[in-house]
Amino acid sequence: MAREFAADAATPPSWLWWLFVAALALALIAMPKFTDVSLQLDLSIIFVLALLALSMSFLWGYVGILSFGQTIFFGLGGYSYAILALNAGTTLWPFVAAICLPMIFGAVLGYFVIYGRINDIYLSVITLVITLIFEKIIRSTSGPEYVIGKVRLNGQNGIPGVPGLQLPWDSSTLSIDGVFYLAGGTALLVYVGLRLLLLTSFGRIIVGIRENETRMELLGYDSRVYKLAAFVLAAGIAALSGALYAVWGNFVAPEMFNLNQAAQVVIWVIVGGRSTLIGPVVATGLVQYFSNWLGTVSIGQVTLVLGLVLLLFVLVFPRGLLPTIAWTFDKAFSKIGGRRS
Amino acid sequence: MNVAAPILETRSLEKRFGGVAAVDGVNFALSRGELRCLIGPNGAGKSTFFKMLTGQIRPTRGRILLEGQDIVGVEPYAIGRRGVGIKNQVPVVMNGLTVRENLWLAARARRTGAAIGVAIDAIVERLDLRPILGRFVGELAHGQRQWVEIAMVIVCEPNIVLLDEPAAGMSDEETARTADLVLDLNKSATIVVVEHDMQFIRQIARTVTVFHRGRILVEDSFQNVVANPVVRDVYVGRQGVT
Amino acid sequence: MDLVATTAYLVIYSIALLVLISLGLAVIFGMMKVINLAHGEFLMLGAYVCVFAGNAGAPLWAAMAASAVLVGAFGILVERLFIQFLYGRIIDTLLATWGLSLFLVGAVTTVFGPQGRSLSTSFGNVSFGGINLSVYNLMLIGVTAAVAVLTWALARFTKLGLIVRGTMQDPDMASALGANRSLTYMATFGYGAGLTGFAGAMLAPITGAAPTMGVFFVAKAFITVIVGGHLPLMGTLAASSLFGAIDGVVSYRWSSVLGEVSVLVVAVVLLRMLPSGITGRFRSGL
Repeated sequence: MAREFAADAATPPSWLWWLFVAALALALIAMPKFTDVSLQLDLSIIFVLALLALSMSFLWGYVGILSFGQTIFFGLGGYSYAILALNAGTTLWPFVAAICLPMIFGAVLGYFVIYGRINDIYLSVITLVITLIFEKIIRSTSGPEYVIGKVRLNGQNGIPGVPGLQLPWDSSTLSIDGVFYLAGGTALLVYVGLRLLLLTSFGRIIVGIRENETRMELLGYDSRVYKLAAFVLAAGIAALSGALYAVWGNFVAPEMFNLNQAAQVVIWVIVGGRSTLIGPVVATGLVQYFSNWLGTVSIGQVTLVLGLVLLLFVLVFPRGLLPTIAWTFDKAFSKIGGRRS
Repeated sequence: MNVAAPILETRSLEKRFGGVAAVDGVNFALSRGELRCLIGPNGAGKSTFFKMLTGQIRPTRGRILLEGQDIVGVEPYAIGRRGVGIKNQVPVVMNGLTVRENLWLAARARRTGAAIGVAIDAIVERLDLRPILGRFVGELAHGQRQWVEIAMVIVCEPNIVLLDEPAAGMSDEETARTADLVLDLNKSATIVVVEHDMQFIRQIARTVTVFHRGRILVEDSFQNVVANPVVRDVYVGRQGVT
Repeated sequence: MDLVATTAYLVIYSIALLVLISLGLAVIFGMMKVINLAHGEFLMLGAYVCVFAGNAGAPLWAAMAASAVLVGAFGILVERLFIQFLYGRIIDTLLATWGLSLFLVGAVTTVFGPQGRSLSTSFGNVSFGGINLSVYNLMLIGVTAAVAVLTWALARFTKLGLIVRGTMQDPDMASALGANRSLTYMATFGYGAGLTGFAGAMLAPITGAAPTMGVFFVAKAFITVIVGGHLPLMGTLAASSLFGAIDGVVSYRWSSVLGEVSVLVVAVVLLRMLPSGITGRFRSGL
């Protein structure tokens, strides 16, 4: 059966993987020369969302926590950047703060659910509930009295005119090319970083906890500390994704917190499979492309199809599309080759 | 008998599940360096008793004194750090990881750097685990998985080792090896063994504690316990039932 | 005096509303340890049936009965189609019901359009103790109490209720004694769905029916059931009393959004101390 979780994460990646990463980096650098602006914009948002997918795939696949709340940090990251940048007039430290503030919230939330040893379902549902409530809170801030500094929260309509990132050396705003490189580069760096994190003591201990928390505790590890650290890290990555989203679109809205967005994150990881980090990234691209195409039809249909996809994958491809395909190939080849699969 | 204070002691220890008392008022004392066997029919409360000692289950009532300090309510990881190790009835190990990775995680718990490798090499030699180092633990036979778990416990250099049915599912030759291991381990740790296999107990036993219905029935030397008619009643009389 | 009376009324109403929207979910959770993430959509479907039936001329009680029956039947269909294959796979059930939830919202939006529909009723107001009370709201309180009592009576006095209670406590033992576990789960899921459909129908005159209305109520229902713990009736009553009181007071004094936030904060703190909910440690009871 296709392995549910990556069991060999602690082994250093092969030279093939490094080659793959180098190829991706080269493709990234070269791409703007060969593609037009609209494709660059499309790809940029996929890179941004891929970051969100990575945060979820790390938290769910490698730490073993199913949180429906990564979009909370995504939204908080975007809104923090928008509010701070519009108030301050500069963009660099707001960008950093937009990552740190959600992490603080993540630490508080994580403390309650992890140290409370709340069981898996409760944790999942609580994070879903918090997502729902956040959306409600933001949507209810339409009135002029909802202001932070000089920025109106604007409820339903979101905050427009969010400034693009200014380059630290000459204060000019990041161009479309720049955003493309920033988003792509960040996604690649985070992907490599997470993969290498799994080689460290921390990474190996986290995977051990996911495999058997009881045994790890019996060995003397305080699993709560490790899980909380991982939770906060995942929150930070999701917040980074949100801040980049704001930079990309110059706009933030309550939709960043909504159920559809939360569902998409889960779907990326289910379709891509929990056993790798790269699977969900590929799935993000596929699902985004697919739902953009669908979105041109009508709003209701996107939700409908998302629901069907989720149902289909849970029932038929629980290991994810990519792992199942890989497993099918593996079985097929081993039958041909006559060796044990 | 040791005059020194017991290394592990329970006083009126009780665990109730609903209306049923799995452990019902147990006063147990273990001397430093002892090798104690715990026997009793299935459902007598032995595994529940063990799990309270490691902090995995919280007692309903009573006290557990580890080196004189009450550890009721202390988190399992803290008890583990204080030197209590357990090999469970069903191996509690990381099935999805390799033997090597399991051992690394055990060694890393108390060491860093080069000491980890040294500790792993030592335990691999001692328990002859080299042939299975690269295998995934979930794919091993029950006996091998037990040995991996025991290896992980030993790597942590515990003061007290709790072994829940170490000879279960093992061949005669494996059982003898396990008995040798237990005796060897006793040179550096206090040990409590739960077992059904009388041949195994015969090879290692000094003092035997008999559990029945959550209580201690008898505590005596192996010869006396085996000859005790009450104990035989509990076992033989109930052999048809358990 | 007016303030006390008004507050008391609001609190009782909030509690009743919470019990109404949570009981179906709690019954399913208590039996199968499944949190049905499509719960809000069962509410929504019940509201739609009621609105359509009512606007087509059926008397209100008939429209509500139709909601209960139709959504209950739909629940049984859903259970047979995929829930039954996922027992034991708790996370997968969570995800599958979430998929169902999205599908239903999308389907209803596509078929009926995103705008809400309303059902007008002629219940009016009544004066009591110096404050103006909506007759319909009073009815809701009464009907909710009746539904809770009915559920309790069914569980306590009928043979099916005995089987349900037995399966809840110890599924293996109940099954060994002859209870058909699969049918029991199906019946329980259907009953929970029917209760929820009925709740949606009761809400229809107040909120109307819209594809996304489920999302609005679902957060409170989930919190109530989780904090309630595994006993459906006692848990729901205990948690609803607590949260109904908090929500009622805070919503009245400040805003309904703040009411929900307060409920959430209290819930998270409470779960830190009682991770299995209020009735988590209770071994018997309903």
